[in-house]
Amino acid sequence: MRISILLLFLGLSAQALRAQEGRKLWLSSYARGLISTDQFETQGQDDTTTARSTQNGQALVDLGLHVQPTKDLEIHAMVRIRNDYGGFWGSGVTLDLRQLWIRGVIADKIRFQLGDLDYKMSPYTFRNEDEWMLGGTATMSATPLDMVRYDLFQNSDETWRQQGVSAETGFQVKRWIDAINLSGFATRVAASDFGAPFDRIYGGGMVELTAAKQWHLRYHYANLFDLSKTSSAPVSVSNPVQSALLRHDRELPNWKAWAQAELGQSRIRWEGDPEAPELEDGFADVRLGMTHKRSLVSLELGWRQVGANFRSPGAQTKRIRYGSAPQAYQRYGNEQVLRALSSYDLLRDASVYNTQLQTGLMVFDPRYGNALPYGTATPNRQGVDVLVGWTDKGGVVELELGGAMLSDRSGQGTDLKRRFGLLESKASLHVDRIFDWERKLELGASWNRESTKRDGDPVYESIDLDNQLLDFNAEWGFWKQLSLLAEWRSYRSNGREQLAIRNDYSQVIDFVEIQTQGTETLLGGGLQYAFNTKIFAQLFYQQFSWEDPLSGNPAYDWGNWQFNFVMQL
Amino acid sequence: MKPYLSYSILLGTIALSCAKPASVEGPLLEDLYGDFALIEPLEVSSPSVDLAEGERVYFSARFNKTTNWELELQGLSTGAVKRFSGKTRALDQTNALWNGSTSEFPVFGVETVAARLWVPEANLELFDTLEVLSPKPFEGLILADFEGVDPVGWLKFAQTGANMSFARSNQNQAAQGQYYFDMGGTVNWDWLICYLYMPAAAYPDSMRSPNNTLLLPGNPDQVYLNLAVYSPDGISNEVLLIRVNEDDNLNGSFSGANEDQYSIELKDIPAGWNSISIPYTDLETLVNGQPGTPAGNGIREPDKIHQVEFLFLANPSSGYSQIYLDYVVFTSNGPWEP
Repeated sequence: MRISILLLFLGLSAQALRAQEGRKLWLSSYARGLISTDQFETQGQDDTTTARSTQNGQALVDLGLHVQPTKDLEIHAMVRIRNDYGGFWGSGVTLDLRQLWIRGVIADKIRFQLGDLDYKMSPYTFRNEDEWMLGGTATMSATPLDMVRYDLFQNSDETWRQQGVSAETGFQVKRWIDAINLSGFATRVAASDFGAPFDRIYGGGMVELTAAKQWHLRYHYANLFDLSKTSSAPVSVSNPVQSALLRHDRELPNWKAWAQAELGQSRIRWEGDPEAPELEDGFADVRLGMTHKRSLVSLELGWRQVGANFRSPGAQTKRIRYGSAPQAYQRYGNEQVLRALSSYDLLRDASVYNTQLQTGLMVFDPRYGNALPYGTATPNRQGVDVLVGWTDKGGVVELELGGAMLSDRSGQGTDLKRRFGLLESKASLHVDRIFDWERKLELGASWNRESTKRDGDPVYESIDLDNQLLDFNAEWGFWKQLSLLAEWRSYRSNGREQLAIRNDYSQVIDFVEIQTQGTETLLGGGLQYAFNTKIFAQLFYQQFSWEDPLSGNPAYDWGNWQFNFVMQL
Repeated sequence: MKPYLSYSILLGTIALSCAKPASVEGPLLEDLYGDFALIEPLEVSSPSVDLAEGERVYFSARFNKTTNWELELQGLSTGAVKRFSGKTRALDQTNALWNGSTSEFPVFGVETVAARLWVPEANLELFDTLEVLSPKPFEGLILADFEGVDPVGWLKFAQTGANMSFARSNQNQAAQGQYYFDMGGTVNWDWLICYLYMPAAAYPDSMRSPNNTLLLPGNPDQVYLNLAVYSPDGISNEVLLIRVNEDDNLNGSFSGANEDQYSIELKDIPAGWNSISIPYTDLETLVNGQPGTPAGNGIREPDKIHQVEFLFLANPSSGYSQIYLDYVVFTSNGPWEP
């Protein structure tokens, strides 16, 4: 509260500040209003217990104040004022400090940032990769998802939001190599309460050598560790990860090409626990890519091998906590059964999202991504992948086709290894550009599929799980800035998997059989009015249907009317 | 720099790719969900065993999956029982090696031993037998096995109550050998029914020092007092008070006024023979059954034990009480394995 008063004071004093010594002050903001009405209907029974319809909404404003007291220093603080509908004259209003950082340059040499910071390194060391399940979202499904992502700093550039300090610097060198770049960070992941939990720190950095402008050698290091003496707890964890990456870029007459290899290893140990194992393993990743300059066709080929005991918190922590229950309609039906997370919840429920780095391996749901549940750095995988992309010069067509053939590196519960097939395809067609129409008409489609198979004893060993996501969407600007939106999204998960149950040390101790025959469909349509590229209003209706006869839970339909107003300045 | 770096990264990559991965992650699915099958039946490594000579036998069997199993050996004459259990794919020397010890008194004698292997999951029973040619010798400082005449110097006292029994006996199965010491009766005016004191001076020179203390290590962490105690069915008021008197000043006698006495009370003894091992460090100074302050130097010193006392008590209003005592032995570096 004190901070907000201070900010208000600073805001009122803006003109005065601007007048003094050339110091600068400016504001950034984000605002949205949302009104949502849910209609829930349990299928196959006269559900007299679950609320048929619920309404909620909120208006919120993020006000960011940027102060630049000197040319090489900037201070930023952002407060969020939120009012959930239903409050009266301010009751129900919350006011939070959303982010705070100071950044600057020391002696024109070292850039630094204190406070909130977004950071990433390689996909095996520190990267916040998106969930496979959330690929291929279009305008309608992406709007609530983007709100969640914005609120929780699930950044599109795959950085992790952390709190701490980062710094970077670089040198030009005249012999052998062109330049050396150094960067480092130290963030506090968890705070001690002077009782059981330790102060948990995540720190590391990167050194990059560049030679002949084409060769890049990077060394990454990251370590999640407990600070001893900050807690009375007897067991502390440390999980260092390091990797070396070599990249070569080559300019050919018709092609731009590159090759890259990354190799690394991790070690995790629980000091003070005689029963705890020490897990140590490594990974290797080799990648080749090329882009045809004239046609803009791009091709990327990769091969990876990740050990079963490779543990990298910065790269393997998931965005979604699959062990949590959804917030909306948590129980339903006359028997008030616990509703399982659905693909619709993943698009709109911020409460199931994770914002902090975790040790070990988080729980995942094979129905919503089984091949690479922990992203590129998923342990116990080996195989090849390919990605082909094409965008025509006129921007009419965008195509993306990716695939991977992977397998276990070590069998899970058996000598036989699971085989994973991944297919990701996405296409968008700007019809208006073909015919030079003034009004926008864009059609999009995506098809993501993954399969998991294992032979063996049909009773307990064989596995056959197929997950499939299909999305068709359209946007038609039929009148001035008014567009018609439509989207059909279908998700199916069929088959059987033996899900590994892990202990506190992330080692497999048991298996639970997952059988699913799930079908989820999202159909929606609505209107969008774009004031400009940063401000728009939407009114749409979505109908979500869920059923899985093997789950034992009743099927349901879930309708949602939603009005959004989003402004980002 | 270019080729060296690229080659080293690539070589490292290839080296890792060639590295042998961990065998299997997690427990085997076959063990969790597969059907049980017996691959090799129960067998004993030798049809007879001379335990006194230090011989051992082991049992073997093999299954197709990791399975819970129980192996029980029973002496057909003594009724002694030894149990093994595990969750493995096989019985072998690592988990079914028998040195003649017992899980349940009495101890094994010269007799035929029947072995029964039970696999609960398949409700499978397998049988075999072997002959024990000589019983297992016991290690440690044996104060009493009650097999022969009592050592001269033991101090014994029994009240003149009703139905008193206070002598060695072989009327029932002993925990070890043929005889045990029977202590019982009804004393309705006093807690004490009887006592049996075993002074160090009653034992041969090989068991005691010139100062009449038992030849035991001085470190109390290493010393255990072991005994077999039998509680008849229906008896629940028994109290066996064990006292150890230390001759702190090594003058050849014990004075309760200025030397340590450490004690323990055994109550609620389960019916039947019980193997009891008491770490010397568990003994404490008791005053009327409550923790008190040692009268001597307050240091537990097993190498200064002057006398070990067994007092059989019962609440005078509780009526008849009885226990049997057998095989009193001090061991070093761990409890006994009868």
